[in-house]
Amino acid sequence: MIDPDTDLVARAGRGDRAAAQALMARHLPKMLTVARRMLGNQAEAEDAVQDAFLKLWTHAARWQPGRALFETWLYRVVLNKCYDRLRRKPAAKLDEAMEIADPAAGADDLLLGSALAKEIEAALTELPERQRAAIILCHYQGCGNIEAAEILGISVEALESLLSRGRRTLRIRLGHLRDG
Amino acid sequence: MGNLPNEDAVRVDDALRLLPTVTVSLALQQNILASFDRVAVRRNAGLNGMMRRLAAAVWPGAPAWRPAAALAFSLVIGVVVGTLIPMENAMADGKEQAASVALDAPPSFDLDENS
Repeated sequence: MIDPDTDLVARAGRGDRAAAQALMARHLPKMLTVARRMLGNQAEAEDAVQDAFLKLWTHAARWQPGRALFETWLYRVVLNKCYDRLRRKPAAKLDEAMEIADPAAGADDLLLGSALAKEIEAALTELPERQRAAIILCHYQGCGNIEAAEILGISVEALESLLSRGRRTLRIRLGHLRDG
Repeated sequence: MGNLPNEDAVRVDDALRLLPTVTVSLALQQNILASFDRVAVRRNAGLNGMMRRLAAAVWPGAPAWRPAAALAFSLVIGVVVGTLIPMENAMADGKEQAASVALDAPPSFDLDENS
């Protein structure tokens, strides 16, 4: 499988700023979205993504193509940064998700109904970490099951089990929205 | 258990579609690029940085281990050739050959011109 990022990563590893900028432009939106949905907080998500990119810059020179797709590796790094943050302060996450307004998404919230969006985000934030990651990757990022399983470092069957449990929990948790 | 798995999946898709788009701020992009610059400066400093620049000059585009491996390999070949070949030559006939050239005598060549 040809990795479209191999050349950019190698160049970034040699200190090529334009390559680093291109890598960032290609992957930052997706990575920030995953972190935002995992952590339920924009500032935390930005910190996690910054940490992940710092790890990328320090490891780019040693990157060996062929072992995994670069994007898969970067997703893994971002998710691990998110898990670290969730374990550091597990009690605060839900409150922050509900209370801290996301200034960047304010206009969208108004259009879609901020209460509804927050309810969905809170339901997502209540899911166990691995279920949440599986749901975000497959339902929000559009990853296939094989790719998502590889990112999470589990078998496809285990991923399907996580997805199934996560979907069921979300359906129960958000059932009243559909009925209402 | 009234819901089929596919129905759950569709519901999750519908719900997540209602979430606002996450936008990337300019400040975040600048911070990430600034961290790249810091790492690049740190990488180019000191002896390691000098070796890396030297490797890039000798073999542009290759990782640093490649020129180092080529140098080590050629060193091994040199040592092996230098230790094995003279011994084989010395053992070939077991005696030394002496050659002397008289520098003040005219050169004499027999190119079969008289035959």
